[in-house]
Amino acid sequence: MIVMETMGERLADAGINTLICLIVCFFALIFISFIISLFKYINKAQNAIADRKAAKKEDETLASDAVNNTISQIEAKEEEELTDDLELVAVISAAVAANAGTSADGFVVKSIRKIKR
Amino acid sequence: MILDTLQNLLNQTGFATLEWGNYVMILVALVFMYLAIAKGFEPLLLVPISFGMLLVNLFPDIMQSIEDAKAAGNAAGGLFYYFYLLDEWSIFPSLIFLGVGAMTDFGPLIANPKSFLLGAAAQLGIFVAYFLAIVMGFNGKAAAAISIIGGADGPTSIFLAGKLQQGDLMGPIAVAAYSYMSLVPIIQPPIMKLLTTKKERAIKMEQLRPVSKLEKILFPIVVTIVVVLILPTTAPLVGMLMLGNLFRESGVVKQLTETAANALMYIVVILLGTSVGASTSAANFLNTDTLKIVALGLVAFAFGTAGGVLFGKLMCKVTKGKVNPLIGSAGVSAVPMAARVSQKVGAETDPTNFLLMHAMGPNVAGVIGTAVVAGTFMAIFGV
Repeated sequence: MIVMETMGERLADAGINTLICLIVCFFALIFISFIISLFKYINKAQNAIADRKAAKKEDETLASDAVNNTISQIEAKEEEELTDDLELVAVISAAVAANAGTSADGFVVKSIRKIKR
Repeated sequence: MILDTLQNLLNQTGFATLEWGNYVMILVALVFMYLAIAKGFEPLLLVPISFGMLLVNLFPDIMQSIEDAKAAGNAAGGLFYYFYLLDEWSIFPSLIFLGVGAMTDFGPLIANPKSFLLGAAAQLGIFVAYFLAIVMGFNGKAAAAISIIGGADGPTSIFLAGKLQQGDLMGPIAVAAYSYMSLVPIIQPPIMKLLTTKKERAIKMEQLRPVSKLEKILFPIVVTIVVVLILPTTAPLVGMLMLGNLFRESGVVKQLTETAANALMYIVVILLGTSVGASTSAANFLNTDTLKIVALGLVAFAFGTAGGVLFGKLMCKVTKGKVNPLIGSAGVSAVPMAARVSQKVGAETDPTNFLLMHAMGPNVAGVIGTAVVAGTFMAIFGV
């Protein structure tokens, strides 16, 4: 049986279809939009983790810098001590030279350390 | 004997077999070729489409179906008929979507998810055209297949026409859809300017936030799950679009991304273009339905643009001037041309205004929006 629809009926059908399409389209896209808007928290979380890692790395760098500083300070201190002990250096140089039978120009006293016994 | 052979040869030439309509279509094909080659209108599509149009009107049997071929004593159908089957079976549109996904950066949409609303609003043209098509006497399925031209998305138009079994209308629908897509820079600006004030066009939008790699990887997975759960009929289109995008964003399958976005994409464009062109034989194309479809396509396009811009104005009001309404027109898919038009019209008002990245959000949302509308029509008609 062929059912002939009037133009009014066809337009009513078209109206309902349009309404359904509009609702589904907006609902689907608004829903995705909402979910994707939550992605900013992923970004924030990633940034927070990255910041924490960067801070940790900075701490490690600071610690390693501190060690480096300590070594250079010790070296500086040793040089300083050597400068203070110039007289002692002269005496030791003379003693070593006399013992070896050479001139004091042949060697350099770089540091003087007390040996614990 | 020799005279008989010569007579047979003469009878087989185009001069003896072609009708006036074929000559008109040959002329139309040559005009399309001119537009593609000399004017640069979507040459990647219009060159194969126009050549398919030319060939089918010179030799209609290049689209001969298997049944017709067997009835005529031939072993196989025409070359383009086999290509065309892959259009009808929705294989080519889905593969094009794979390539589009592999080429598209969804970053601007992830950074500004409100763009999805503009992508939905720009589908208004589809519904206006659907109503008008019914008024013009098309049945529901035909009206739905025609109206999707308003989404400015060629593959989706072919996909829906195939699914709704509107093979007779596929040629005019595809040609209208691709022609209007190439005419986006001409059709859209007057409507955009008409509906916006100079002050609105000059609005500068805030810079988008950076989007991480993890977000970009999650996007195609989440969209696939959500959209296909809501509208399972969209799985071939949305699924392939998002698979292509996952190839791109995962960064671990560079060869697949490269193939989907280049080699495969262009192979499909050649096969789809020629077969769509070949569906416009004079017998199928030169009728009043084609004229109606061309007119409806233009109406759909114009209303789609207007819908996007008007929703953009609404968002501008709601956000107290933070949204430039010009980005709304990019909600009609046509990636990335529609976004470029938003940029161009915005820059005409203020050359220091850069809207391109902001317009890319609604633009790619429009692709998803059109696929969602197509899926809804399929669900309504029980396909």
